[in-house]
Amino acid sequence: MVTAAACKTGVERFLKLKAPHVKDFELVNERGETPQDLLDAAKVLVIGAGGLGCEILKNLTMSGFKDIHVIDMDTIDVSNLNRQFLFRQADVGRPKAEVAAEFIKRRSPNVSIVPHYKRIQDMPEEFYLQFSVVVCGLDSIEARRWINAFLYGLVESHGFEGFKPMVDGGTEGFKGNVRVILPTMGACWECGLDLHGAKTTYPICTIANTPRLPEHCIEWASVLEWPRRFPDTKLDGDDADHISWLVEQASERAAQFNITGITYSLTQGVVKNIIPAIASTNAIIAAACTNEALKLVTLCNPMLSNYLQFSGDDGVYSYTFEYDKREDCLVCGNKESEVSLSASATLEELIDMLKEDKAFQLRAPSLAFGSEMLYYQNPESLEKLTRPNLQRSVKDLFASSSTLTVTDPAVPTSLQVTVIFTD
Amino acid sequence: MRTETDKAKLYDRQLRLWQESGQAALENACVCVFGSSALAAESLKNLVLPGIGRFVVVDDAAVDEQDVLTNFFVGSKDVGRPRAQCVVENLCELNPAVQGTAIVRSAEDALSAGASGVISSASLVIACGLAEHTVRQISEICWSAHTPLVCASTAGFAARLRTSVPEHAAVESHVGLKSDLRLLSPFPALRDYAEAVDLDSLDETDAGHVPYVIIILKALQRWAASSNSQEDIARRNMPIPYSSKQQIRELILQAAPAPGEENFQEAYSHFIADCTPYEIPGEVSQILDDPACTSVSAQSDKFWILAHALRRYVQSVYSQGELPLSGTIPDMKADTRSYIALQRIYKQKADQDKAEVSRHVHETLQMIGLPTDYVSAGEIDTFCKNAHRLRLLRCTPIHTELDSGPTQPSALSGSGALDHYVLFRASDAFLAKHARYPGAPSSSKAADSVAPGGDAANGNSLNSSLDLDDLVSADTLELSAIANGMLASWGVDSDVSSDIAAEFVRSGHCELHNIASMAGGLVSQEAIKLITHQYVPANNLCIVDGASARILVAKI
Repeated sequence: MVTAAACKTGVERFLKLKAPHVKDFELVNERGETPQDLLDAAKVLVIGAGGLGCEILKNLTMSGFKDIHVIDMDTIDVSNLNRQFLFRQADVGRPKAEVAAEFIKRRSPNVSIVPHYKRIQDMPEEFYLQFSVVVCGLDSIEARRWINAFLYGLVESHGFEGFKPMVDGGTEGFKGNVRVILPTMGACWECGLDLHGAKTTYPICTIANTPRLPEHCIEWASVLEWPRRFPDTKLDGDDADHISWLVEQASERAAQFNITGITYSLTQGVVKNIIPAIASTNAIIAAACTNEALKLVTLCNPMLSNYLQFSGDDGVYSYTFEYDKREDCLVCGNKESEVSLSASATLEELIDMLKEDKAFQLRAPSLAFGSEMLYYQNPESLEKLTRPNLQRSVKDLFASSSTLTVTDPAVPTSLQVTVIFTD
Repeated sequence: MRTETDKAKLYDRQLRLWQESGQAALENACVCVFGSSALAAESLKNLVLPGIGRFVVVDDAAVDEQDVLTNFFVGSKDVGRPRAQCVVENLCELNPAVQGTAIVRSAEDALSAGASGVISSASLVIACGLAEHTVRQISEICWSAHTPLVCASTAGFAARLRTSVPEHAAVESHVGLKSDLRLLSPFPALRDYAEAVDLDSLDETDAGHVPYVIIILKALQRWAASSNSQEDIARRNMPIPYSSKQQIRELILQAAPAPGEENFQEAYSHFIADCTPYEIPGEVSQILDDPACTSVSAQSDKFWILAHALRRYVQSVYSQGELPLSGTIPDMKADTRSYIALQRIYKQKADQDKAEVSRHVHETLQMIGLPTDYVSAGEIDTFCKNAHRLRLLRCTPIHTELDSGPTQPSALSGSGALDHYVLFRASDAFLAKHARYPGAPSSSKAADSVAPGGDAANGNSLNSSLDLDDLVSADTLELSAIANGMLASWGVDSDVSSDIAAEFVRSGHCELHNIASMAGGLVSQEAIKLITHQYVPANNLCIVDGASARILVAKI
């Protein structure tokens, strides 16, 4: 018998009351565990302690999760404070994971929360093996592809012990999305790669020769002029002096071409690829994520299968659907794919194709044909050695229907890409 | 004290969405919130962080242990204290520029003391988890004051949001539009510029840098000259027959100096979209034909005065029935000089159109007896730039809906929101009848406010041994019966879903933090759009179904 005293909170009602209408919900499972036991024992990894991360940590704490780890490699910036509500002005410069954990701990001393001021790529497999579920509030496609591929590999190497369901959230202005990924079971994150629009890029020839927009002038200053003038200094989008220099240079160039519209804000936005962000959208998406985490762990209601899309700029619009596993997925599929181009195209043109193609979205691919190095981005010595191949026609390097091995920082595994000549 | 640069840095990520004008609107606003549960606190969090000017929280509830577990903005040391006060303190801590006040009274008390004060100084009202009779009262007050109202409540995995305002206009709606290039009705400066370009005399490089707009205009010219329907073509804005469209596209490709020339490809692929006859968008036509637009007075909202002027502009010979040009053109493959020159041509026409609209604005102001500087040049500029995406919302009042049911039950079932909607309504009726929510034992604190005659402080111990599973079963039957009765009264044939009814009673109308936070996000988002008059508010119901991970929208 379940009494009112046993259900102090809403969560407890959903864990303790009979619910015959919910398919997979059991008051006691085959191992003798109750949903409350499952919640009490759950160990959650939160990836990211920023706009989504702060919300996720709050939500998990307020949902009865007691054992949380949070990882984030960033420090706090003043522009975070309009939405990352676990941070204050005095915290600027400190690691996000640590400050977030401190705040949560102060407010809820009974919750164990362990911060990691680290990159996700630097944590060993043992670290990830301890968790029951992973909730991601990341700010880059690259990081998401990495964790998705990594968690897939974890099942391949450790079987059931390595099975870590992943809930992934993303936001941009008034829009956002949530995915639930069960590694090796159904579609993974990479299968839905083309659900993301590709980033706006400007062709080099436009930037160098025929600028028309203020953005072209800014890219000229940051991509072409900066390396010319400061070859030994990496451009830092967070350095106000760097941005100011770019504004000056871009403005001069813009004036030459009668282009208007260069501002500090636009310049910083282009260089850092700033995405507008507000608390309300983060709240919606993060809550949807933690709602899924609660359901995943306790089975108190069905979990999202597998994608929720949201936009709040024109009314409220939302669509929940299941996207399919892709046969040729670079992570969970047969990892083989095909591209075609002219036999007289250069290797550089092939590389550009791989970078621009929405199906791959590669950043800096290195290519090999069997044991033969075609073009390697790293290390510097190999890059210099293979650079002349960039200008050679592909027909001089390999025959049509050859399968090349492609590696890229964006994808943890290597890809087999068959190249077909169109002529 | 924050300096302007401090503020610019702090709010950078949101200023990119609503600019200084939106930020100013937020900072001048005062939001009145009834309720202080997690739903209310989360709604406010997302308004305090971006810098709302002031807020007021009205609630007489005291913090209990359940609150400490589900409401982030109260702490364990706050048990027993007025929840409104604790929430205000913890929210203000998020942003020192924001002013917050707690009114430790129930909504009913605060309202009975006279509507003046609590609601009259608010730019927007948010009502969280209130009983139906209180919602009705607030709705009537807000409606006659023309104050936007957002009502929300949660029940376990479900939540509902309802926006109500007599009229809301958004000039800067940010709605995406296709390019406004007027290729089928080129204005003289554009036509002359295209004429001056001699494509045939250009070498391959230069030809590859001609903006596609010019390429299309040239192709249209050539086709008109050779076509039998010359008279038709000479008339502006006539649709091109489908077969001719294909012909013209082929002509474009043939005129390219080399296959795959990018600007000719652009002309080819943009031709169909850019060469449909110009039409004023439906939403804008409706605004221009609205009675509030056709007859204006000194009491009219600035929006209507501007709309009236725009209507006169559209009816004038000058405009030829077209809205003022926005003046922006998309990027396209071209050399800098040609692109900038083309951009200037469009900008100059836009400026001329704007000057004409200004004239109509001043004449209108004179006609209604207002000074000519009543509408600023900046406001006219914004109006003209956004003329193609003006938006006007009119909502049905909540008190009408409560009395007569949803105006369009079919819209509700079409969107999948009917079951949740009727179950929320049925739960409200259940509460009014039994002084407790379905599934909740009496004297439970689950409801944020109890119906008149209910007593929240009454012996909790009386019900501590009650079997909740039994209560849930019994209450599910009754709730479903109430819901089915309501559906029948609205002319809906089907019965309510028994699974969803079971979910409602399973919740006992308890707050789940995730759902409260999600609904709080939606409430604050709507509030921001209503306050800034930017972007487009939802009209008018949202249902969150956390059990199936769906957000459903309907107009009722």
